Amino acid sequence: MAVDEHAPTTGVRWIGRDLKRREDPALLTGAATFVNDFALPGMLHAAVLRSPHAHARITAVRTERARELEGVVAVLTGRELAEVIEALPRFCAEEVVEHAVAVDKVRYAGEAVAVAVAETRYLAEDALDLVDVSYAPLPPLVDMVAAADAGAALVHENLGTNVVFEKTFTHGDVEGDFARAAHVVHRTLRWPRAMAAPMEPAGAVCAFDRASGRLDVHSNSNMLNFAAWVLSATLNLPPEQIDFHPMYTGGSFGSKHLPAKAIAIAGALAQATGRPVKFMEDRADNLLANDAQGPDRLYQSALALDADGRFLSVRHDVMDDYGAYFIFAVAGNTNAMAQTTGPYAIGSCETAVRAVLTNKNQQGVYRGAGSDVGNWALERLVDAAAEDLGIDGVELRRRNLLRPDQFPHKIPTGNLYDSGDYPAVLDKALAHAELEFWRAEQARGRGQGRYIGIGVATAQQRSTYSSTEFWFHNPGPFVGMSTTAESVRIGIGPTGGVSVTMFSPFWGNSPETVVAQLVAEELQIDPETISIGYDSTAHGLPSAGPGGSRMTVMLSGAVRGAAAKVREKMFQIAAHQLEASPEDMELADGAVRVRGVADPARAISIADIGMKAYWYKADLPDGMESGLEGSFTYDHPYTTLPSDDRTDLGVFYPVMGHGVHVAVVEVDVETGHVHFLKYLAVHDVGTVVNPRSLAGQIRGGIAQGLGVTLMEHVRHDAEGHALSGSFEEYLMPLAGDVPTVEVLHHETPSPFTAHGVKGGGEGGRMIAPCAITTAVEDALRPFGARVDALPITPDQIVAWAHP
Amino acid sequence: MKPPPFAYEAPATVDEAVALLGGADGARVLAGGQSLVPLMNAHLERPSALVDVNRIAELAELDAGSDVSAGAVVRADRLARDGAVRARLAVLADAAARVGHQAVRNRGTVGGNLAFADPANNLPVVAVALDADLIVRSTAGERTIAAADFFRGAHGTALQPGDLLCAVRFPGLPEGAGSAYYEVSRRSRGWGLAGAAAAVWLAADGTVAGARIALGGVTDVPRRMSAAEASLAGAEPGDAAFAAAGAAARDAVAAARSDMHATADYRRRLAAVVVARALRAASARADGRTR
Amino acid sequence: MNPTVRTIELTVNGRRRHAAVEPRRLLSDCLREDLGLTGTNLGCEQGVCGSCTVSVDGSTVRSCLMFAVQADGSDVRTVEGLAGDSALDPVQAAFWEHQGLQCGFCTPGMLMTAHELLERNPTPDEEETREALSGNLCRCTGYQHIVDAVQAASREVGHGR
Repeated sequence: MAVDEHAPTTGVRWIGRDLKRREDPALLTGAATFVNDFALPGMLHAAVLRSPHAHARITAVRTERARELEGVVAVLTGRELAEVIEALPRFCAEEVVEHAVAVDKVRYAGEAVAVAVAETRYLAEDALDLVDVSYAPLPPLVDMVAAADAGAALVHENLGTNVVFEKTFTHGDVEGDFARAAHVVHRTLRWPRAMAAPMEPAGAVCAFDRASGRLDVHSNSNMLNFAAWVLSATLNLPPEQIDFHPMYTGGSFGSKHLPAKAIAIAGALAQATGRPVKFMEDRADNLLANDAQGPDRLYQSALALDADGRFLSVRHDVMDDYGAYFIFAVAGNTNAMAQTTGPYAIGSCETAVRAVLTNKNQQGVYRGAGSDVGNWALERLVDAAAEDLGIDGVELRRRNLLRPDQFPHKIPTGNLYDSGDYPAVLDKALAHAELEFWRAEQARGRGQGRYIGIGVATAQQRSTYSSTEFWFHNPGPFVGMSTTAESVRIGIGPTGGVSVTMFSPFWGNSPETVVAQLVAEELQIDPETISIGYDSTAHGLPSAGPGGSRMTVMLSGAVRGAAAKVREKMFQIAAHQLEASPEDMELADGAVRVRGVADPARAISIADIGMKAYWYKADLPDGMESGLEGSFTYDHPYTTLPSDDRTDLGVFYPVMGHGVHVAVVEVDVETGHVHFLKYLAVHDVGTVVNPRSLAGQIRGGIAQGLGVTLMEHVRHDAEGHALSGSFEEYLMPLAGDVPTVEVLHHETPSPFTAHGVKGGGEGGRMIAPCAITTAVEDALRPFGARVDALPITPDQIVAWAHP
Repeated sequence: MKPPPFAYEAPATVDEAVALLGGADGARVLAGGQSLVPLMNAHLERPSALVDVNRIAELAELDAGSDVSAGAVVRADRLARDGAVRARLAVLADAAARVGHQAVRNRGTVGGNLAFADPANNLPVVAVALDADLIVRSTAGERTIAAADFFRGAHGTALQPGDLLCAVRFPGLPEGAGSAYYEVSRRSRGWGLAGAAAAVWLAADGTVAGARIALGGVTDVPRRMSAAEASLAGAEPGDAAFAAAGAAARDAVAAARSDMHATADYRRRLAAVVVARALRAASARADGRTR
Repeated sequence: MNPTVRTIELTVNGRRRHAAVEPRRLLSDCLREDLGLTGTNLGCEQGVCGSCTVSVDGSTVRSCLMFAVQADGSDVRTVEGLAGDSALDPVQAAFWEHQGLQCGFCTPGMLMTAHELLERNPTPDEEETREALSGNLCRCTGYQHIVDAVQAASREVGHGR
């Protein structure tokens, strides 16, 4: 069993502790309520009929026989549903219109063409078996290069092209840097379409009260507090009439940021039938149509170096297959611009982005949100440079790492890296990597027909996004949203009990545990005494929810702000009682006292203060309201707007983490199987609140990174039929496929956040593909194998080894 | 993904079962359900009626004497863990132990694995390697089908509507034989891409006296690899001989299967690997030698 | 043959329960909806992910691949029956201690599989543990903390459960 090494931040009591998770007992006993466990009296169940064709006009949808089935309440075509709800929300400027159920044509295999709602899910599916759909097939666009051709059939006729977005982002003197380079390495790289596929599919239970016109939503959406506003136009209801209730979410990894279709279908049917409706994606629904597929990219990339092997500039020409719709525009590409230059001192960079629409399910945001791909492309270039120049890969990286005295560091794109000590992280990794041992094993092995490979990756893991990344790809002077807030309310009751309310849901991260530790730290109380809950959006405060590894940072700031308000009021009450000055008070051992004075007669317990605040108005300072609570809306700690010409994209992901992974593999060249001999991850995500919880996220992320590197791939045949509709087709790692991962934490605190925390939930997935790719390529070096595409499949390995 | 409706009975005897199967159009056998129910949940199979054979005691008998006779409802897990089966026919225990994961083995049956005849299924390969006999009953009576005649194509067998596969007899191997099953899959104990069942017995001088090799997963139907077997006669057991047998098996594959998990070319290469590795494991067990 | 609803009687977590079910009603749905035991989760209904794992007559099964009528007369155990009178059983406690879960959706299935492993092999090594858990998909944890938890539970539980 691996033992994680972590030295806690000094001067704190609760931050840095491996407290057991508060969320676990309910989950371990099966008592937690996931959406599919939730039922309302009279609830109906919906099911969706899906198109087998990738691209076709819908010429007829006959639902008469389906509607006659006993127990079936309604069967709606896309056209009929469009009379109840509008098109789905989108964050793109382009007119890419999507309906929850297709109206005139289907644009991907798996798109919804009809929906049935019945007393049971069984009956709803029986009804769908009786729906008769006629299609007039259209030429399917399965290959993005072909789809980008001027003469190709159009996914959206109104756009006149399938190239929905095209722009080159140039920062610094790229041309000049390439011109003066002593060496340039080029690579053509292919990153495969993968998907989040959490164990729990997306779903919603909607109940519409006709008298009040209010819609109650129980959904596993991880964005809640602006979901009502985002979906209000679709649902034809004002946002204040929609109440989202936070549910325990069984994993998301970005795929449940906005399960708009599930909510829209359930919401529409609830309005149409007057009864509560549950629409739960089943696994086929989820794998075919979840709208959260990952980047699907072709890179033509180049790295320019000087004569000393120092990186001067990096250039990417990216073509990205976005699928049939464009909900987040090119967020998956702009995300990568937070860290295009990686951990290296590179003076200029350029990314040309071409987003192409095809007949596949659309991209959403999947853990890493495109920066995972950027990391991989950059590390491939670095490996290529090491190979071409005959320099050891680790040495080449070290030579180019930013130095600790160079922070805060603005990179050419305009984003800022807040803090970092990359050489120290690399040193720590190398101290535990046993590279000499493994290199000796590798040499020995080659003599015996064993192929061992070593991969070291140094890469970034940005956290805490700003909403500017969703629109700054549009030309200036346009300015869009700039808020990504998170709120917390802390209340102290008449017996001194502390309760905390969050407004974003649990999705497998540990928000309750982390918040308990943060509040305990702020108020100097035992975290076990804190009561933590969630509230629905009708009572909620601005909160963007988990995503982009933001929650630890945002909750830290929100808790700090709310605790400060509560603390200030407690100090005033106590000071008034003790005839002291509020500035002289401090919190210690569950009481407020005069700073430095240990006399119990000069202290008032939080319990007593609570009692006074609620029931003893006469003891409060003049003009003070009764009660004791503080709410705080914490805004993103450091966001700046992009320049009009977009040569400077502004600061949008400044809380920058970093990591080094060391992978040692042995490749069986007869079967193509990759076996892990060692896996080490050293992550620096600032101050760590709960090391074990973070290590769990890192290991989980590494498993997903291993997945896309070796086995995960969303595939279609030549006609665009979906080939990845089950877990036997879309392969994800099992317990026997994933190595034991040694995790070490390094802490370089952020100067911008409460306690210096940074987010670390995505880093494992963002760095693992780099290290594993390098290791496999290293193992197969005797065969001259070059890994330019993922996943690295067994047949590819066997083909390399037996040319 | 909920299954469509069907009529259902769970008879207590084989006679009742075959009468039900013979009497209703579209009636299917429900044994372990590990292959059939996923297809029903996906609406890819819609039997109008299911005859649940899990309560027929006679079909759950396992006898491991000189041969191993297993009733059709003997669970893969039982076959995998039975000491007498492992002692007699380790290849059968190995193959049963590799049927899916534990929960699948707890329900999945010998009969189901053979009758479903997915090219990736393990037990058909063992049945072909050992020349097993499959006992089938219907309202017309009982008949025995040799394994070599039983498997006709991917998911295609000699079973006719109304038939119930009742038992399979795996003949024992010569005294001192070692046997093994070796499989390659994409993921940990996942669906096999190629698998080989092998048995080896030695002459007094330590050379190979005889061998049985069957290859599965590479073509639609598992096949005896006679050329590979012949290549081992009189050979010194060791990696050279096993590699040669593997190559012979690979060369005997005319057209390998290609699907999203493995190309034809890769499967053909795997043929050589799984045969060689199965032989190595089998040989190590021959003559009572330990691994 | 009969497609209509029939009454089944089964023992679930030690208590006698009844349900009226069509033959096609999956055991998973019967447990979750007819008997109110929503701890068992549906991750795929394709027989692959293992989230729906329960124990029937002492062996784990994928409850999405069994019809409720097949469990008539059987002894069924679900995650809700593990803890008994105490707050958590030793395996659950080990999962808590080692953080063998994040979202918790696969956890009930993992626990049932872990229990069966430890009943059959009280001292599994790491490889045996990983193999035994390979029929349960987890997307959050990367499995390591689960393996740690099962190994810790095996030391705690020992023989003679």
